[in-house]
Amino acid sequence: MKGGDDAALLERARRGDEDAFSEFFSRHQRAIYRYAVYMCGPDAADDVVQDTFMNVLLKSGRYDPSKGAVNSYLLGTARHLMLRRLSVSRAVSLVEFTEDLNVENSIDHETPLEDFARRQTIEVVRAAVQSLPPAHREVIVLCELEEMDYVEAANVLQCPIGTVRSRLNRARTMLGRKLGRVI
Amino acid sequence: MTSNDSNKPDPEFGAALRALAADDAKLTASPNVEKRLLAEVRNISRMRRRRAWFGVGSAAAVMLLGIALNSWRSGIRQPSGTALSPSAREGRVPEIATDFLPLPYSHVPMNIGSTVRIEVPAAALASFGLAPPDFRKSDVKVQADVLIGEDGLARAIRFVRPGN
Repeated sequence: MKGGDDAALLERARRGDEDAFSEFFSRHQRAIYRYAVYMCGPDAADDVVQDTFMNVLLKSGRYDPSKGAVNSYLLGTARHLMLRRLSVSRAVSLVEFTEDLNVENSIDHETPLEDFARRQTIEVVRAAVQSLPPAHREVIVLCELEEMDYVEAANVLQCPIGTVRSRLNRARTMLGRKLGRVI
Repeated sequence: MTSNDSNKPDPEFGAALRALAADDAKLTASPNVEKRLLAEVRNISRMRRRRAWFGVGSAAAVMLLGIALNSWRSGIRQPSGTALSPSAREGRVPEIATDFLPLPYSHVPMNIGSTVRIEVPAAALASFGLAPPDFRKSDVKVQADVLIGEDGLARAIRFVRPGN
């Protein structure tokens, strides 16, 4: 029902209904913002949110409810825009989002735990998540923090469900090793 | 994870991630983002209204053009110099017409001309000296035939009224 509401709200917003847009924005902006904070940092997160909503407002007719929920569509759009932004700034290679590069190195890096030993566990976990390679970080964000199932996450990442599953397992292992001495 | 996870993390690990998710729940985009997007939505609304009005205007223009063309086709004839209008020649209501009076482009040569029946304010009669000057204030409309050359320039005009 909510998905249907979301689709209707989006259509009304695209026709210029401000109330519909405000409701739609308040429902979804936090998830996109959180995702953007983890994937490209808080400085760029506002821009990612703005670009994402601008994109879905202006590109009418692109949301297909049969292909997934609105939040998957929005996060997929955010991801696409974010990758474009990162590739333009050359801050991150797109390959890092699709391949398991430097996995062992990232595990063997000095973990954040020493630096944040006296901080609350939650900050350590956040730092550990942020230290994961992008491809693993985003499955943790989507599946663990945003509580998406494999199908939804695969929709966002535009990859097979099996890939989501294997990346998530690998990401958990890496996180577990990073956090082993804390939790 | 909400479903289909056969390899759940251990409870402590899961609890740590849930605590992180709960802490992240307070993260939100800057209010300026919503303000900027709402301005864009307002812009969309304005553009849609403009397009809607343009659509209505276009439809009206097409309709008027159709009417004008229709009356133009029915009014086409060669200038005859006679005082009888087409309807009079066709045996309908007899009309009385003035001679063709020159308009500003009357000096431009033309090969083929056609007349178009239009309605003009009665004040036009006064401007040709066919009615007293106080006629200029009248709201009454009168019919007129305009002689138009193949180049689209109006060469002459005559005023028409029912013969009875």
